[in-house]
Amino acid sequence: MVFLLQSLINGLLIGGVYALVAMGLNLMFGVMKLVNFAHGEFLMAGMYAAVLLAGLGVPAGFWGLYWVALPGAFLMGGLGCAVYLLLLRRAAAFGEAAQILLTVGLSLGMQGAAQVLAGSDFRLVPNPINGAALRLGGVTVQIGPLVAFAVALAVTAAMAWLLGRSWFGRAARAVAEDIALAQALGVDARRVFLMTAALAAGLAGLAGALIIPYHYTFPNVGQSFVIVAFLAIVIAGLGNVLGAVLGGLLLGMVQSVTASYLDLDLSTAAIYVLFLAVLLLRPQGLFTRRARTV
Amino acid sequence: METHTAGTLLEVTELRTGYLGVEVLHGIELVVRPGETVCVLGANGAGKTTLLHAIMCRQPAWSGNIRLRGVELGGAPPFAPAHLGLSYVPEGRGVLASLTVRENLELGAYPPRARARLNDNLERVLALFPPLKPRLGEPAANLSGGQQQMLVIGRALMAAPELILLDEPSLGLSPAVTGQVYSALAQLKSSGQAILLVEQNVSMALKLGDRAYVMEQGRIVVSGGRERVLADPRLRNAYLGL
Amino acid sequence: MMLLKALAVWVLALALGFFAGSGYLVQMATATAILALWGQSWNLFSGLSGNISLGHSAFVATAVYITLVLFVRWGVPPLWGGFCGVGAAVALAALIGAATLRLHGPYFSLATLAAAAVVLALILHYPDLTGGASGVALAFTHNAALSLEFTDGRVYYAIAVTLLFATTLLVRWVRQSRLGYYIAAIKSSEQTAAAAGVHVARVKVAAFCLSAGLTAVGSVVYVFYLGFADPNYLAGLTLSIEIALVAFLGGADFLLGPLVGAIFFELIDTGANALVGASGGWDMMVLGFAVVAAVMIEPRGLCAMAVRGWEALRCAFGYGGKTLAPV
Repeated sequence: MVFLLQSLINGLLIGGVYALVAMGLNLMFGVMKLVNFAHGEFLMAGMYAAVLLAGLGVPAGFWGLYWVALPGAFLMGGLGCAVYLLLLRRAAAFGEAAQILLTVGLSLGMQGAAQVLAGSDFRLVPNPINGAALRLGGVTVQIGPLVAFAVALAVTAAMAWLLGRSWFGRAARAVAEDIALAQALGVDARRVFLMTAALAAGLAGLAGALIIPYHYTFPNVGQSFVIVAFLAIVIAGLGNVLGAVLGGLLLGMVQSVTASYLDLDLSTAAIYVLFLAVLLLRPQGLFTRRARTV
Repeated sequence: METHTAGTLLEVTELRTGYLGVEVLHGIELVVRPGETVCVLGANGAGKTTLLHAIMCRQPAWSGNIRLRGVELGGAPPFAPAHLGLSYVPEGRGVLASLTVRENLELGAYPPRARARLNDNLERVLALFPPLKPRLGEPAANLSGGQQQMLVIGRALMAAPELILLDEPSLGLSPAVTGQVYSALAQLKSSGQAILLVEQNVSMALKLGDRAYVMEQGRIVVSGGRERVLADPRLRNAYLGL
Repeated sequence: MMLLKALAVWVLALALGFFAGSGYLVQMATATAILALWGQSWNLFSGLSGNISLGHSAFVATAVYITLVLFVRWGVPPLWGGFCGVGAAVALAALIGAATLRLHGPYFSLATLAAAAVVLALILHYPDLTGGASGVALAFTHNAALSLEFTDGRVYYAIAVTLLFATTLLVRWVRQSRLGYYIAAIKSSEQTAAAAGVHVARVKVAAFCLSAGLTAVGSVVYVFYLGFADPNYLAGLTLSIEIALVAFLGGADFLLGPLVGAIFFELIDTGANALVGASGGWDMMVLGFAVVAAVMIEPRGLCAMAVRGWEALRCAFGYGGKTLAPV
């Protein structure tokens, strides 16, 4: 019983990271109608940015590492802007197939570039957060994942406000539904796209920054997170940004439980079976009421 | 640079545009003065919607000018007209279905010039279209067809526009609802709002309009005051295609 | 006439390989032919229908590993085991296709991408059966056609070229068949195609299965030619992308697009390896950014670029027949 509870809590905590990654993916899909297959590489690049900054010096204190990790997330926001301005803006006219290949190529290129620049070693900045834990009854809660989860929840609340209440949010949802109409109302769609790309990349970068204390950094680290996030957004419902959070948390727990009782390799297969089942039975997603119209 | 004629709000001169290399509008001339209601009449395919799309910068002009208070709109990005004071009511229910009624209305005040007076304008719109008031929190998709048309007109008014462009506001509405929509438009007109109205429903439109243009195959064939246009046999020809 | 020409090219290709000996050139030509075959198979569905598969390596790995496990563990001759492998790949395609191809949107691409990850995870999870991450090595001592064992590399070259020709002819035939017209109709508009009586989902699944099957056939030959199966390559994202790139780079709308793409790719790959070595991530970086560049420069591929250049030349010399439609 304690074993199951422990495994569920571990899954929930890692699910927070999946949620951050999935939220950005779904935001970009909802607004720009684009699956960014290079999304995981922003997480990876955010981690390398943090490792690089940590190499220059880490502030003293228990939480010191976060002070060098968080700027990485902002850098990723900037990188997201650059990718939009240089590639995605023009590629919008190329059609879905070309866009998919473009972001997949970018994903592979960024992984290769990371390996060329930083080598394929697994890196972990030594820090006191790694391994620190709270013990509640028989259950152990690691501090690093707990912080990541708490931040993910806070970011979810902030995103809910941003999308629901701010001018950007209303404009973004208008663009998502009908771009021509949104523009007639005075919304500059390109600016919305630019901000969406920055926000999505920033969320992935933030996810990278939050796992820095306890997760290894390596060139294809983004893949293990983004594949789960891909499946999470489909399971939750494509374009449903807040649903993506639930999807991320759910898959985190499914993965953790199957990994505890079976094997980590098989957990990928388990999630995939769940994904296929959702597509067959409820293609609009578990957490989306209305079916997406084309 | 020519200076614009004093006292005009919207001035379209020698406008030519089309799709895929085929010219649809062959040199349109059109003027709207402040406070005026101007109708553009014509059969399906005469180019009325294309004209509105060109004015709203959805469709690039090939040649000619579109000026709003003397400011050239030709070549501007499609979000610019809203910022300059043009509001557009598209053909056939242009609600954002996934947003609530309130959010639809608020988005109407998206241009910075309108945001400051958002609450005043919201009250004004709700006074003009009372049925919207109890449904502010609902998704716009839940509204009936007539209410959706009210919402779209209300959203256009939220920008406190200099000129409101309406594309076939009676399309697909029952006669009773059409009457409601037109009485709201009449109220707007009496408050001094300038209106450019594209319609196939000639009798409704000409009850409201001060002046009218009749389009036929991308050209304006008749223009003038309401009575003159009504009396012109070419109006009937334009519809019957004789 | 077309068939006759193709036969002549085929004989010529075989003869060239035969006289080139067993050296490096033949190895490269074999790899190119297999890559072109994969690209051609990918194009048959993804290129023609616009549904981008990002997981063709799942079919490669499925077919290869089923064949190998049957052969190495139970001694089933690869020629027969190969049928099981290809059948399994087709079944996997049918499963993915049934779940995703009736939906609009990126479901299919996501599902194929993840499928390859799952196949890799399963291979790694059963090392007793599959050899795990260290892969499977085959040592050939004698010629045995039934086991696809040949000591002379030229035999594999001949098989690869023959399969490539057969696949290309098949794709050509499909394009002009009812199935091809259905796929083309689906690409331009699924709604219209459905309204015209095309069973959209059924046609898509059928074409996808055919594509997966052809890919699998090439894979089985390829792994016996290599004599080694590396799961991280065979079920990896890189291979999936290579397959898609080859078709896309050459031009998805052209019959010979995948061949042009494969030749171009091998030249770049060989050049990059000679310059900086295959390790250290250079190969991945070059491949990835090559895809980006290819899409940005000409999303319709090298063949389209060549056609455009040719038209420009003809126009320059006053022979221009066609004018380009304004976009």
